[in-house]
Amino acid sequence: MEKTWNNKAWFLVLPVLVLVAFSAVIPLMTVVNYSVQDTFGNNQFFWNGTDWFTQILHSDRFWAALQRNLVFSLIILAIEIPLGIFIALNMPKSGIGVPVCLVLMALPLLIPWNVVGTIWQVFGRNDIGLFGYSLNAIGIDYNYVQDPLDAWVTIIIMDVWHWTSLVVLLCYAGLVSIPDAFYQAAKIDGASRWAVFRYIQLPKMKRVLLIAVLLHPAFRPFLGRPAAKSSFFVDHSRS
Amino acid sequence: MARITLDHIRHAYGPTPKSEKDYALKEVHHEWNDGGAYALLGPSGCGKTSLLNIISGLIQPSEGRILFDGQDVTNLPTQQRNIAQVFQFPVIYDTMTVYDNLAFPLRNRGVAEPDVDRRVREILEMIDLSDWAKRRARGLTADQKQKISLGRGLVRSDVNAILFDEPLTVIDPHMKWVLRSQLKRLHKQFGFTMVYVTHDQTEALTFADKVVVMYDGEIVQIGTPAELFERPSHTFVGYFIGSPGMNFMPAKVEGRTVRVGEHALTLDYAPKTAAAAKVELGIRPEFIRVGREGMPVTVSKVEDIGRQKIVRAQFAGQPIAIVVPEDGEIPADPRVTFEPSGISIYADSWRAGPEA
Repeated sequence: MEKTWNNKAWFLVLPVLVLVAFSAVIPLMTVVNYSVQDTFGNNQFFWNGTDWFTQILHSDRFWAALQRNLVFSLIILAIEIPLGIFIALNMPKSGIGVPVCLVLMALPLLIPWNVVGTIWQVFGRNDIGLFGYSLNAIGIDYNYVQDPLDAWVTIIIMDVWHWTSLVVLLCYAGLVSIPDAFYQAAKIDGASRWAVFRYIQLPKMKRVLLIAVLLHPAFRPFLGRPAAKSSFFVDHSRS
Repeated sequence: MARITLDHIRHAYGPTPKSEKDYALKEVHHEWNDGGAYALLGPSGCGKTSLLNIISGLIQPSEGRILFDGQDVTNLPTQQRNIAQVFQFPVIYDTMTVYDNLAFPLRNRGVAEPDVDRRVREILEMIDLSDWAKRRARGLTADQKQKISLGRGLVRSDVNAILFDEPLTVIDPHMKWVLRSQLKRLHKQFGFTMVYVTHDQTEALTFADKVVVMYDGEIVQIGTPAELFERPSHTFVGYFIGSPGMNFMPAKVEGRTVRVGEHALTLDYAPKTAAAAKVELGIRPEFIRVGREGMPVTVSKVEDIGRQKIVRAQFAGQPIAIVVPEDGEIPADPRVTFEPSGISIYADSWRAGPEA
């Protein structure tokens, strides 16, 4: 049978195409345009070629920052993913506990990135910040402005606090989609708790975990990290 | 393999059952023989699956005990009961190969690898998936998946019983027949105790030695297919087994005489109906003869289904079905006679025995 081709369906993609063009493609191209130009203000631009790129690629500061960024990403993923899976596995499956847990988990995600940075900047101060002040009060010498290790610990805790929830929520969604029959069959087959996790729960969570990793800001370090966080990162962990 | 004793089992899903109505399973008290093939037959929601899950330990009964070979297993978890169970919808571990799926129940129990290999190959052969052994179990068709689930149920040779929960629902009709015959053959060969849940009477009658008919949380009859057909002990069995089901009509019993409308029939025993609020006469369509003599009926429709004809008629103001052989003649002024051996009397839905 001859298939009928009807290209009118393409028109249905038009709205989303326009939307994406305005929200992503045009802004991105503007940035590309700026990257090959320079200005002395007054809104006058002149051609600069690949100078900016050469400069960045030869900058030690850039490579050091990139390296720190990768290390940072690895550390937080190594903490957040196991922790997220662990919390998701232990969340209630039914009853009043479910909405309570979900709301509690969603709260950190509701706070914008740059605000998270500001909150922790204040929270961690040892003169007026609750966190920094308390630590010093119990005898732990903590100062994220002076000590690079303290700075690292702070931003890691900050990110874990902010993003573990996402891993938890995604894993939880994967877990509740597993039909009861799988757990019943596993019991019949004499599977251990580990085998249930390895062959039933983990495969279901694998895909959502990939989403969690891709959505994570640590994995798009140059696509606009929050100003407060990244400047904090670059400026203070350099000392 | 084991004899399964269900000792006064009752089950309610709610925490505090108040009345009889709250029980999904009302008092089941039976013993199933070692090596028997039983089919649990009944409509959806009659408690078949609950009963099965109680045997395998997936559900803890609210009351009563379960014994395997006289040993109380009521409080043992599923893993320790050594039961195989196949579910209605295929459960496969899709990150494993077909081979590993089948080996899973054996490896979990620490069976030595050469034995695992031997058993798995036998099962692969049986379910006709040998060529797929090394493939990932992901992306198989529904019946291939269900065959793997079945295989996982059959792979252990030392199980107390194998339970099937409508396992062939997702399989296409031809394959259904093949798999059912294989199960039957396995049963003969190894003598597993098998319990098979289904709502399909053909499946139940062909698979089982004994059919357990359940209705509304109760076992209404346990019997061979012939017993269920000839002497249904509850009106539900009469209605559920056979196609078309048994005819029922309100009746009055006086000693050995049964009156239906203005007709009187004589039985060879006096049924015990004294205390009953509702008395019915039941007769299967196969036990009614059409001819020129007997009691008058009005034929409303004749359905020719090939080897026989089903006559729908009005008898004493009641709709009845009659099965007539294909070459059977239906006269212009049709009359019917009831075969006395095919008549059962039901008092409040239960078959009435002779007066003591």
